[in-house]
Amino acid sequence: MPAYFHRMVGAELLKIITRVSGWAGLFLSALIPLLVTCMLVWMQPEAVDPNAAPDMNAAMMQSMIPDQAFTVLDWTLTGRNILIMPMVLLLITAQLFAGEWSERTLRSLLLRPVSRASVLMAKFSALWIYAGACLLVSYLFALAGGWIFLGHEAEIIGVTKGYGVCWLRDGALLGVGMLVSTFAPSVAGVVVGTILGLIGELMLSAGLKGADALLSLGWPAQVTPWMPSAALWESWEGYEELDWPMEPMGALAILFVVVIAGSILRFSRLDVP
Amino acid sequence: MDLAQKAEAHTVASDIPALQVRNLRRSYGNRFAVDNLDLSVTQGSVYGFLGPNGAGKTTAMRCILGLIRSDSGEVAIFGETHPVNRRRHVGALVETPRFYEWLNGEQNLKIAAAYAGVPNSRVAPALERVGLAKRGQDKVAGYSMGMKQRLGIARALMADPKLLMLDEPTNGLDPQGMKAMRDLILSLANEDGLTIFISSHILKEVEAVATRVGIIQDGRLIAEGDVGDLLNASGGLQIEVGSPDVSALRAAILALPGASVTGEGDHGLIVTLDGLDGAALNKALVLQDIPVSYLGAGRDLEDVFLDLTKSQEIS
Repeated sequence: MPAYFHRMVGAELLKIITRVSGWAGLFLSALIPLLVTCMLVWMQPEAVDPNAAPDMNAAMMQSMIPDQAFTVLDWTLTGRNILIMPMVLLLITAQLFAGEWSERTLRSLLLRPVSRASVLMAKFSALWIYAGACLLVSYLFALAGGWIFLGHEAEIIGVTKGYGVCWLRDGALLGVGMLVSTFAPSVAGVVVGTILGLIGELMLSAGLKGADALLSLGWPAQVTPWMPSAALWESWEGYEELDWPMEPMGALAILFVVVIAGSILRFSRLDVP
Repeated sequence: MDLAQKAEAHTVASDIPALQVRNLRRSYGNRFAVDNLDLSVTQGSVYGFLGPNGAGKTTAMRCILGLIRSDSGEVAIFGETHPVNRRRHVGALVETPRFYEWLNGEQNLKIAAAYAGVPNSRVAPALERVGLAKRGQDKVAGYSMGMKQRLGIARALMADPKLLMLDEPTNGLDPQGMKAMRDLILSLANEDGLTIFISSHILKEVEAVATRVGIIQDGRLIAEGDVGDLLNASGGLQIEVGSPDVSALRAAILALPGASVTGEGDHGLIVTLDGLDGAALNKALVLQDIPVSYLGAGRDLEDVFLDLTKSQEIS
């Protein structure tokens, strides 16, 4: 990497945060915990109609929301991971790689005296910093919302660790998008290709598990915990355990190495229009 | 790298070619877009790289700049052969320059400065150099084609290159823009001492700025030399001479040893000289009281280019 690598990362961050998608990601990161907070305030036991059906009574609500601040953090993490942020991050990744490819702005970067691996890592680093900033915004808003409106009896160390693992998970997801970008030279192609690829891998993993259950093969049970679907879904879900869950974290590490090495190898050999 | 190291890195012996290409080859399927190309560009020259559309000019430039891989061959820029290191000495504009349209000109150049490892303080002088100092804060989306071309040159100049490679720099420009670009190229060559490699199919543009040209067809270099030498090659120096009294002019020329009329041009007769130059011809005609209304080059680069490319097609 050149000595001025940090400036390359800064240049990529400038591109990300000056685009509509960059602002949208930060805005959504703040909006999700606010919506979750509002929803939980509305769902407070005292707000529940006492004449409602028995299964909607205060005790049930209390059991659903054991620790308010914790719950805001927890639901925010789940909401941003399942619904919105993976798509936003994927879109920004596609814009930074495939978008620059199709718009031919990538060419001017590759005319500089830096290796292609450096260019790729500068973009990846900027994306990962941006993903971390989005996560931090969500965390701070969720924490503040939970404490101000719902009290703070919660033990938040576990869920904070979950946010940390989620940042690693975001990195792996960005890496997958980056690798797909070296094959699909359009933003739409990257988004669709990545989603289809992840769905396909998820189905493969589920299929292997099903086959194992039916045929007692044995080996799928050893393999599936290390596959990308385990890395992307189970790593951040395991935060409630005090110990780092070995298999999804290992799968995450494997996924990281594969997507970054694969991206560098592929990108270094590409002809740039 | 401190300033002394940078200065050392930028010091290159003057006898080393600015650009040296040997046996460069690049194929697409069974077709060779660049076929055993050899080039040598001396320091301080303006080299015109000519060829019809599809001749392989842009492919060759992309290979030289490392944007696409070559099948074989060697490229050295100021003696550097490593693909990354050789880009230290070169600024380039390949085809129509593209920018981050939602950013302003200054921000675009700051991105270039970050990737070139040069301070942001280079941005303002670069904008000034291409006459865009007052538009640096405007979004690039609002720039005209000519402004984008000039911003592209500013971007290429960011790292203080010694070799500037321009691919069709006047493409899409109106006559005013073409003249502004030509003036800028001449000023970069004459005032800043840059070596300039300019690829184009617009021969008049190249003839106006280049000191040496290479002509490429079907991926091969079919001719290379100083502009004057190419113009004078194949049958001596050709000059076009005009006069109100054409018959007297023709008779006077035919009487001159070493001069013969070989055709007719837009302004008069095309005269081929052997052992004479234009000044001597003019003097001889004036001494014979032949009024001379026009005296100019009888053969331009376009004629040379067409002759060469036609003869290649026939052979």
